[in-house]
Amino acid sequence: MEKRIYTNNFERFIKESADDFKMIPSKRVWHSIYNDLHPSRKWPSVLMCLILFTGVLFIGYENTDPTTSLSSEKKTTQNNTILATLENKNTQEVTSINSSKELINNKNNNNPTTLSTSVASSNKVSSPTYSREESNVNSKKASITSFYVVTTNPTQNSGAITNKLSVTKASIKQTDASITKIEASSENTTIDEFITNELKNNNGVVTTTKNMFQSVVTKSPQNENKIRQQSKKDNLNLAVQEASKQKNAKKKNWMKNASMEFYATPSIGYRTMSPGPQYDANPFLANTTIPTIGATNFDAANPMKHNAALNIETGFNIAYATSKRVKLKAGLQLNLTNYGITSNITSHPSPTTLATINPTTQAVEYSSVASYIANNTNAIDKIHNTTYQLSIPLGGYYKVLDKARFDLFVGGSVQPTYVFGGKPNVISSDRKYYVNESYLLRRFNMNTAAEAYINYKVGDLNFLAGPQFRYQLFSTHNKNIAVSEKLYNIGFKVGVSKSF
Amino acid sequence: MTEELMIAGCLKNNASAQEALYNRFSPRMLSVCYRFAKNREDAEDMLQEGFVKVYTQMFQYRNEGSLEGWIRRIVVHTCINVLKKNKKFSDSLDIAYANGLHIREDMIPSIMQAKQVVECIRLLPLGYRTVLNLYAIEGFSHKEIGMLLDIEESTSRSQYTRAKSMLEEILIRKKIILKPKEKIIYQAAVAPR
Repeated sequence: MEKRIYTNNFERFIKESADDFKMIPSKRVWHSIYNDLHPSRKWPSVLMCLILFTGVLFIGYENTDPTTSLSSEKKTTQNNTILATLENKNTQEVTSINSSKELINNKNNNNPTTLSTSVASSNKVSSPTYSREESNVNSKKASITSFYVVTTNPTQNSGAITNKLSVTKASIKQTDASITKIEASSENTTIDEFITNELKNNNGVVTTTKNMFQSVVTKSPQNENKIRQQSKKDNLNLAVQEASKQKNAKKKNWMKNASMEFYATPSIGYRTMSPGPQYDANPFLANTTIPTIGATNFDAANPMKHNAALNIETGFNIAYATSKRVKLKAGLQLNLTNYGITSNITSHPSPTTLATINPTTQAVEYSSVASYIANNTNAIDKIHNTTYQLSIPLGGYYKVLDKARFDLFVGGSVQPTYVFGGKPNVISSDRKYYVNESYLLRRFNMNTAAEAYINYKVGDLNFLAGPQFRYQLFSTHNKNIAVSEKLYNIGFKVGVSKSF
Repeated sequence: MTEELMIAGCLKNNASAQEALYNRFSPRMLSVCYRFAKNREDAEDMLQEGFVKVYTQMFQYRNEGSLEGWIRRIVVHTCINVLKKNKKFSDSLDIAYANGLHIREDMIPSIMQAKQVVECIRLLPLGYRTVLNLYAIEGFSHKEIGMLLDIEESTSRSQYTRAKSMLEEILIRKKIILKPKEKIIYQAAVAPR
């Protein structure tokens, strides 16, 4: 009422009123100032940008990967063909015999069988070579690849050129790494006769059994050494290739089950607050000096006005599917926790005390500190109790629902956490002030999280969205502070994941 | 952290000291900026610019006056410089500019008194408000204001007289202060017999 009296000293009234008014600047201002003053040490927002940028790069890289895989598979096929064409270093022309290809089909399976002929020149004599490559791509036996190599060696016999045929089969079993090779040769058999006989003997169908080749062809002593040498070489090549294939297959199997997930979880965060476990006596009294120990009504004196505020966490996980329904995950996550406190910022420091626990005696003691923040529930200023955390979420998911387009997962994690910054705003023992000093923060903490989310598949990408609950297991404050404050938040997780 | 430690830390470009200084003075400085600025965002921009100047010019602080006063002076000058960059500001210093302006009752906020007074000040036309802020609150003389805003000393005086009268009218209407007549009645009522 006094202030409402009109005074001649109008300027004084205006000045006093204006000086009483204070506003809390947003965090953006300090971050901008910090970035201006320390250009080499940008605020953690840079880290967030880096995570997002890495995510975009990863997704971009993964989207171009199929082309690379395709070309590598093509290369493998080419290598197989090269391996299959024996003694054809001087190959000049490759022609496909489409008519024969149509006729030669494997009755036992519907996989394509190709027959091609190569015309090779050696000592001015034309030396055509047939090779057939067969692979079961889609069936369970996809890991078995067979090559049938028909090598012709032209020989002049009484002026007439006859072709000596040798047929080589190489089967590669990727499962048990055994490589089998069947060698056979036929003499005085022309290429056309060979094909005709083969078709005739098998009623227009070429089977891929060892017996078939043995019945068609016989060993050629002239070429035996040559073929044996070549076989050894082939075996070596195939073994090398097989080892490489197995390594790739193992890698592919691992990668097929693994995926990378980028996510962000905006949430509403708040805290639970209680005296510490050793705190059997209540120091929260409206006492101007040292509080009395022994009172019981925790919330009676000097009420505090806190309210929930926006939190956010963002990061990435690598998830590995151990079975059809279970995934394990590990990753890196950045958390911003936050809640609001209604208080008055004062322009001068006020002496107050903090209730602390003596680490040796476990007794409650009081430390004198200075504070610029008065606890006042009627104030208009709002400060924020904030922490910046880096955590490693370790946990798993269980697939509850498996539909064509989407899956439903539930999961949980524990998150060893490092708190690298923040403003703890610890309430003083008389509950009249808040003390804001960074040394009051507990640096290593542990969080737990439970979540459920829907995984929606769009092409190669999976979009995920669902609720999440996170709880901090240890107090935000240093273990010597008697007041225990545990943060929790409820949020909505959105993200994207991509298989390797 | 004591002022001496903060100053020493700021001179060494120590981030903790800079943050401590900012945490201590920024709420008050933001309210200073808010009285000059069009809105909160502009006020925060002014505050940011002002604090960067504070840190970079810290070596000029001689411990002769209060640190807050020194920071406040830098912040006020920053606000004026920002305002002067805006062409509308120089127009608003013309007396005729604000004559036609009327304050609507519903524009006056009703929160707490200190905030109410500040919000009422912010209802004044920009030219009036700036002069009133500098003279009544920041303690500049009309001569200094004239030099600072590039106007005549007499213009500053008349701007201030009009600003004061307009602000009084607003404050009375909002019942934050009493009319002179009501004051006499009130004083008579509370006077000891």
